[in-house]
Amino acid sequence: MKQNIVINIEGLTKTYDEFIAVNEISFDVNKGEVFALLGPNGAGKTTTVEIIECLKTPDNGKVEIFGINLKDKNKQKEIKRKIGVMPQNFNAFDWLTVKENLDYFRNLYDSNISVDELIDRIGLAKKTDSMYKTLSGGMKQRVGIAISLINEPELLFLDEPTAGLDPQARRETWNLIKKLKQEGKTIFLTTHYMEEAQELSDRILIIIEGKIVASGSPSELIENYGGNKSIILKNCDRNILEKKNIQYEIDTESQIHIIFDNNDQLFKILAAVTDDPNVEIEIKKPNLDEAFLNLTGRRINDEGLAK
Amino acid sequence: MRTATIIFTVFKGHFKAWQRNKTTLFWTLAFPLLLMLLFGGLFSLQSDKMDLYIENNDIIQSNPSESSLEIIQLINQTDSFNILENEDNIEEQVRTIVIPENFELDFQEGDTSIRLIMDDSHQTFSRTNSLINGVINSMNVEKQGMEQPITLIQEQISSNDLTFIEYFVPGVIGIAIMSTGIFGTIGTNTKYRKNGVIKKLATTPLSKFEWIIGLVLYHILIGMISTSVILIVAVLVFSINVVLSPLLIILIISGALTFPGIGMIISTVVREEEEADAAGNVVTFPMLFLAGTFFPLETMPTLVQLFAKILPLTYLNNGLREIMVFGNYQAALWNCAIVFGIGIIAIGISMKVTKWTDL
Repeated sequence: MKQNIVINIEGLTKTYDEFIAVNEISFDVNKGEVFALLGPNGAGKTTTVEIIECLKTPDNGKVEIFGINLKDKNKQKEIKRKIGVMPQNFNAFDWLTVKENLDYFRNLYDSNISVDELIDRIGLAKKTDSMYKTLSGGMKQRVGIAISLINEPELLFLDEPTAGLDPQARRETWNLIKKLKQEGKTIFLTTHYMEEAQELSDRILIIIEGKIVASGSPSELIENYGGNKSIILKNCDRNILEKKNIQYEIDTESQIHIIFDNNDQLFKILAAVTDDPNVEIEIKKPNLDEAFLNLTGRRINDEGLAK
Repeated sequence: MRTATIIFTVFKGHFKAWQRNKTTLFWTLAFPLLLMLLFGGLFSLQSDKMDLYIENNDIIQSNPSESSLEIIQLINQTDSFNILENEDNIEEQVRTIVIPENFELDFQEGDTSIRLIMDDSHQTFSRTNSLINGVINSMNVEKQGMEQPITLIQEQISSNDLTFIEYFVPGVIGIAIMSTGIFGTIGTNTKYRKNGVIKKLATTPLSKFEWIIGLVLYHILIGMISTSVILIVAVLVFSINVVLSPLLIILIISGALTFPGIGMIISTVVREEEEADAAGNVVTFPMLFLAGTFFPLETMPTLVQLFAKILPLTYLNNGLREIMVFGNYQAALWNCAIVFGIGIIAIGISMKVTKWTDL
C-alpha cells in the first residue's frame, strides 16, 4: 500500500433487494486532500460513504482505510476511533446543550480535547449553554462538524454538510471546511451542489446510478468536459465580424456568441470590435455545471434531483 | 473502565433529557400521581363508614337487654359505622364486636368486658379502637363510683382485607414503571432513529450493548424516583402503612429490564414517530386493566385470569403488593424472580434485534 493513500476501494458493490445502489466502483483517497463524491440524490453517494464508515455492510469488493480491511469486524472499532463522521441529516441530542453534546461524544471516544476551544473554533461560543434543539440549521451543522472533530481524526467524512442551508450559512460552513483542510485533514465530502464541489475539493468523483462517470480535479473536469470558452458581445455591429470572417451565433436576446479555443482567436475577435465604443464584452468560461451536463446529460437542482 | 465511562455517559444523557422534558416528566411523575389521587380520592369518598358486625349475646326472654341496646345506640351515634348483624363468619369480617351474656347484670356489678375482634395491623384498627373505647368510656362515666365497669378486650384475627388505596398504590407504581419503560423507550428510540442520532452514535466506538445497558440504568433510576414520589404522596395523603424492603429495589430493577426491553423490541418494528404511541398503547392497554392494577384478579373471569398470567405487569404488581402491603417475602421473591427472568429475556432479545449497522 502506498503511504499517501488513506482509503482504497476496489470493485465495491451494494444491492438493496433488486436495486443496485453501488455498482463495482473503485477509487483511492489521498492523504490531505478534499475528495468529493458528486452526484444527484440516489446516485449511491451516501451508501458508498456509509460503507466506508462501517455503517453498512458491502455485498462485494475491498475497502481499506489506513490499510485496515473493513471485512475484519473486530477492527471496525479501531477504524471508528480514527475517523470523524458527520452523517447525512445530522442531529445531536435535542435536550442537551451544545457543550453537553460535545462532552457526551468526547466521553464515547475517551478524548482529551478541550470542548470549549472546539466550540470557539466553530464560532458557537455564545451558544455553549443553549439547548441543541433551539439552534438554527446552520448552527446544528456546525455542531455536527465539531462533534466529528472530537476525537481529533485525520480523516473526516462530511455527508451533504450544507444541504438545506441558506447561502450565508453555507459560506460559513465552507470556510470552516477550508480551515480544516489547511490543518492537514483528509476530507471526504459528498454533495449534490456543483458550486460546493468546485469551491472545496481537490478531486471530484462524479457518480450516477451507482457508477463512476468521471473523476479528476475541478479544473480537469471542466477542461475535459466543460466544452469551449465563449465570448458574448452586446450592441455589436455584425458587419465588422463578417468582414473579418469570424463565425458567430445570435441568441434570442440578440447577443452575439462566439466560441473560441485559444487566446489567438480571442485577440482576433477583440481586435475586430476594438473601435466600437458601444460594445459590451463578456467572456464565459465553462464551469462544472456545464461539465456535469455534458457528462451525464442532466442537471441537478437545489434539492439534489437530476433533471 | 472505558466501557463503564461510556455506559455512564449514555445514562447521564438520558437522565438530563428526562429532567428537562415536560412530557417525560409528566408520564413518570404527574400521571401516576394524578391517577392515584383521583381514584384513591373517589373510592375513599364512597364509603367513609366502616362495616361493624355486632354479636349481641345478652338476650333476656328473647329480647336484647337495655344496656346492650344502649351501647349499640352509642356506637351508632358516632356516625362512623355501618352496623351489621353478625353472620357467624368472624374470620371474613373485618371488625366484629361481641357483647357477652349477662352483660347487663355484670355491668351493674361493675365487671364486664366487650370483645373487639379485629386485626391490629389493619389500617383502620386504631380509629376503630379509639371510637369503641370512647363509647365504652361514656358508658363507664355514667356508673359513678366504680372503677371501669366495662373493659375492651381486643382479640386478634388475621385479616386480608385491604382498603382500595392500599390495594391500588402498588398498582400505581407498576403502571409508572411500565408506561415509562415502554412509552419512553419506544418514543426516544424511534425519534433518535428518525432524526439520525442513532446513526451518528453508530459511527462512534459506542456499541449497541453499551447503549442498551445505559438505557436500563436510567430506567432503574427513574423507576426509583417515581416509586419514592408515589409512596411519599400515598403516605402523606392517604396515610397508608407501607413495608419497605431491599426486594423492592430488585423488583424495580426487574421492571427496568422488562419494559424498556419490550419497548426496544417494539421500536425495531415501528418506523414513524406517530406510530410509536399507538404501538405503546397496544401493549400497555391490556396490561393496565388486566394485570390486577385496579381490582384483584380473583374477581375477574377465568379467561382473564389465564390471560393475566402471561402479562409481566401481573407479576410486578403482585410482587409489589406482597412486599409493601402483606410483607410476604416468600411470595414476593417468587414474583420477583418471574419479572427478573422476563426482563433478562426481553433485554437479550432487544440486544439481538436492535440494529447498529445497515440502519
